[in-house]
Amino acid sequence: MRSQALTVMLIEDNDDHAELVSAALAVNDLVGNVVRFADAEAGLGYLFGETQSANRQDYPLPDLILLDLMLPGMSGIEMLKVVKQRAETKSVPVIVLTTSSQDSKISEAYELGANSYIAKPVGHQDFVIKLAELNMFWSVTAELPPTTNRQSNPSP
Amino acid sequence: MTPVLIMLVEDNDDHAELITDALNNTIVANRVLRFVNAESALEYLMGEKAHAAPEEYPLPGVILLDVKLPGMDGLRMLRKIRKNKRTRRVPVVILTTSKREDEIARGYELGANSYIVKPVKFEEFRAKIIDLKMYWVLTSELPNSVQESVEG
Repeated sequence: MRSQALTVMLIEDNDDHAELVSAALAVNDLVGNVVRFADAEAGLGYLFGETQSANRQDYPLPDLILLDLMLPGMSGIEMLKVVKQRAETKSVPVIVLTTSSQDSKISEAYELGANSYIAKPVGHQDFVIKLAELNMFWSVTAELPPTTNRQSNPSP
Repeated sequence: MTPVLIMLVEDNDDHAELITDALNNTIVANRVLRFVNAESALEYLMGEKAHAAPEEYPLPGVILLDVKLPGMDGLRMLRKIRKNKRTRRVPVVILTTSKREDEIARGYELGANSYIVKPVKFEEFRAKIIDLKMYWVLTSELPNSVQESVEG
């Protein structure tokens, strides 16, 4: 059992989808905090902004990032590249959550270091089932990397 | 649903049996290719024969990789998988008995897609593997392995 509740970052411009994801993550007590942004720019601001970087107490680095690809402005793919290049966030698992199930998109995302890829089904019920399984796997079954703010003894 | 080819690199026979059995517990019977060490698994993935006849050596949809192996360890194998053009997109889920945070951090840093700690109790171990399958085979999208060998 984890000692601290997880912080999940959600980058999703669609309000209905964001609500479904938040509801799915709320079914057990493992996820304590969902930080949602409607675009990649705001998400990157939270991760790397000066104010935020200086105060990780109030702006904890996420344990997991759920990333839509089709976003207004900067695309999810561009954001994924940045997250996987920066030392602070490189190890944070990124799960792509998007409507496209094109082979080329899936390959590109994995190539750029996405940890997993979920295609949003059209039907509401199917989407809810996939989200429940996503929550089950990542918050219960898998071990997540220790984030700096959760580490009691930061390694050198 | 198409069955998925799963590569399992695991030297412990009991664990391998439990994992293979759990992966095949439901409607979708997956094909599990088991190797007892990293060297033979790498030979399958990138050896001469794999290059000469890629259709006979299809890339797995996902690789389940034990960390502690005789000879080359799992994390070194992971590094090789990520460096090779043919294999670098294949999702790798690390299986380990250790819960050491530095090892988990290292695995993710080297490009592991996920990390599973093997529980000591049989039933818990089995439940984790069934959920692993639920997630990787039935919920997520895997990179199309057919096109990989053609490109670059």
